[in-house]
Amino acid sequence: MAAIFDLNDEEVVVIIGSGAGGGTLANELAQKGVNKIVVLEAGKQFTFDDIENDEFAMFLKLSWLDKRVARGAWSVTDTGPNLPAWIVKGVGGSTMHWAGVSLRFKPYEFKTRTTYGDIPGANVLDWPISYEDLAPYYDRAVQKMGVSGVAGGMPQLPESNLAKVAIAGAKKIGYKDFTHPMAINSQAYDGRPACQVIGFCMQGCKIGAKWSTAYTEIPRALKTGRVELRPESMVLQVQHDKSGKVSGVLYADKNGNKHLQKARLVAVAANSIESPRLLLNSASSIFPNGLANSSGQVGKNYMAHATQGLLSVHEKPVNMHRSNAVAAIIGDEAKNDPSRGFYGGYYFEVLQLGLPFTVAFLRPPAGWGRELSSAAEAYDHMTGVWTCGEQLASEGNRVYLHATEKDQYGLPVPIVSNSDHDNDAMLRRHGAVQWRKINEALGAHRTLEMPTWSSSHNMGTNRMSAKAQDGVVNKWGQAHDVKNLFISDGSQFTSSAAANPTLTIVSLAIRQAEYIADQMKKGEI
Amino acid sequence: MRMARDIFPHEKLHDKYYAAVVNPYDQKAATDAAFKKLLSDGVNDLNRRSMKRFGKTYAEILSEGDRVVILYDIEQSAFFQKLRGDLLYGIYNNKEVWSQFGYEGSSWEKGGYIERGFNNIDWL
Ligand SMILES: Cc1cc2nc3c(=O)[nH]c(=O)nc-3n(C[C@H](O)[C@H](O)[C@H](O)COP(=O)(O)OP(=O)(O)OC[C@H]3O[C@@H](n4cnc5c(N)ncnc54)[C@H](O)[C@@H]3O)c2cc1C
Ligand code: SF4
Repeated sequence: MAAIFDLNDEEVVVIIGSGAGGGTLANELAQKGVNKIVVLEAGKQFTFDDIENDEFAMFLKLSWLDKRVARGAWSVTDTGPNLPAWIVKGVGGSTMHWAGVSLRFKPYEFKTRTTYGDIPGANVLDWPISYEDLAPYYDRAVQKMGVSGVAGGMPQLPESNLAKVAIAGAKKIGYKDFTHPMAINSQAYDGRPACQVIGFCMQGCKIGAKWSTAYTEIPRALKTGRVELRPESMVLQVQHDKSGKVSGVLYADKNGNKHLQKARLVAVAANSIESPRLLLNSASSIFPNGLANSSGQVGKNYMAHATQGLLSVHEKPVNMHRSNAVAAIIGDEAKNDPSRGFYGGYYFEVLQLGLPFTVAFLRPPAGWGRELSSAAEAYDHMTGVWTCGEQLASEGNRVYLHATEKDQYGLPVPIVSNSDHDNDAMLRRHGAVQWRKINEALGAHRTLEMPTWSSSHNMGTNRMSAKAQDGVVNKWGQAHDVKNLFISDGSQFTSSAAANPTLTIVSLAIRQAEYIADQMKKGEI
Repeated sequence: MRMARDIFPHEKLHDKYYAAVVNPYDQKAATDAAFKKLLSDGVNDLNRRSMKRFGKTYAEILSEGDRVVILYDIEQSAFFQKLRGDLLYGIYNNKEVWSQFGYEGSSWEKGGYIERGFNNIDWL
């Protein structure tokens, strides 16, 4: 039974966003008996009937397309000047689009400042928690999401043609780590079927073999009778009382009518662009620089991962599209080995794209001619990869408010400014060279590099810190400045690590739910 | 038409796929004055440059290499970018041509590839 709560009910716990962070937190709190939870989600509710095996159609249907602005030296100022991020607006958030890669952070990645030292031009900081603190929650996230290919999870997904080619090449140049942890069922699990290799994981899995909060956490949360989901509800502002405690949120419904939902506690999980934007747009006389921003760090330290898309053409067919989206992962370069010329590491995430996205992503939006058409003709002979590596935190990479431009709600649009640190550029280059070697070892004669596109991984803009002056939230994701305000998405990340973010977001949300439930019981919040 | 084929040249693709993108332009131009101007100015500019450089209209230039030189000159123009964008979508996102590139499109209605060759590679 889905519950309904009153706008004036001051005991309501408000969660903003229903993606990896928000959807998980809602369900975890509800399962612990926390009552009166309202999830406000800007996007619509989609069903399996809405899912098509069509790249452009699903991009247009699911993505967050409100105008946002990209600045800085990254190539997204060309490829997506008004679309800095590729994320989802909808119930389930970006777990609708995501590919399912579920890697853990490595222990050193929680201690980057200690491990790397002080890197000029960067703003690297240790997390206030360690790998050991998070490890039990990683274990629980693996069970919750149904991760295949890891100890304690399901067997690994079967290797597709694309996986076989990439792994064969990688072995030739001496790589050995082919662990493939995916939140995709390799066998029926948790009421969801095994993967049928439909091949459109990033367009939304038609059968639900891939984990998404849209059809796991959210319906389960609603079933407890303790949670109300309000889709098409865009939160505009978080308000507070005279003492500086959060007291409610102002949001607009699908008709643009504004409502004030009173709240006992607010958890922000709107992904790393909208979350800091919301805090900045909630500035007041007590919080002149934005809510919870006494440190000035809200919006700063934006990290998108240092990534490189590449395609290699082989002599014989690969048919990469007959594979789940991320066919294999090569983990040998995911380590800190400064002898390579950079700190931190990266993964090769062996990736297939359909023909439309392959051609569209291959060149900056201006691409044309034989270079592009000859590549298209080699489509069925291609292997693809997306190298995903650590991007260092740096204060200059940030989300901030546009001075003049407003969105449909009359609020300043966010600008996302990002530029490579030298370290990011070196890491990216290394991956490109190594991928070429992997493929040339099998006789591939052509490798094409893609520009960077709108970012699907967004982190760091409300980071955790031991000291209040270095970040925005403490080790529980609780705002240093405001006791009953929590951040529950990837914007809490202190470092980006080489791993994709979602497993860590979910683990942090499980851990945070324990803390919140406990603090509520004790009457602390 | 010549220009459309030069932007995304595929000998194996029939003219009709390019025509499907370009032909509706006439209709649109009939009702949309700004679009009509974009097209006619673009075509005139293309031919003016072709005459100046090679003494022929664009379509009369025989060598693809020579034609592409002209296209490089105008690739930043709104006219070129409009045609390029429509072609990209019209050709590579046209389900009828996918099979000619070895792309099989929607697969869920066929049960995915789990029984249909996802791991049938034989050359490794
Ligand atoms: C194509 C693609 C592939 C990916 N593949 C992987 C992968 O393989 N592995 C991995 O780990 N990660 C992957 N990711 C990234 C992953 O999806 C995200 O990191 C993760 O979902 C982020 O979780 P979140 O809770 O921070 O935000 P989201 O899941 O994006 O959820 C945020 C939600 O908040 C809503 N919202 C925003 N602003 C407001 C507001 N003001 N009011 C109300 N609601 C609001 C949004 O509509 C959205 O639903 C991928 C992403 C994409 C796009
Ligand atoms: S490959 Fe598997 S996970 Fe991906 S869309 Fe298909 S069935 Fe779903």
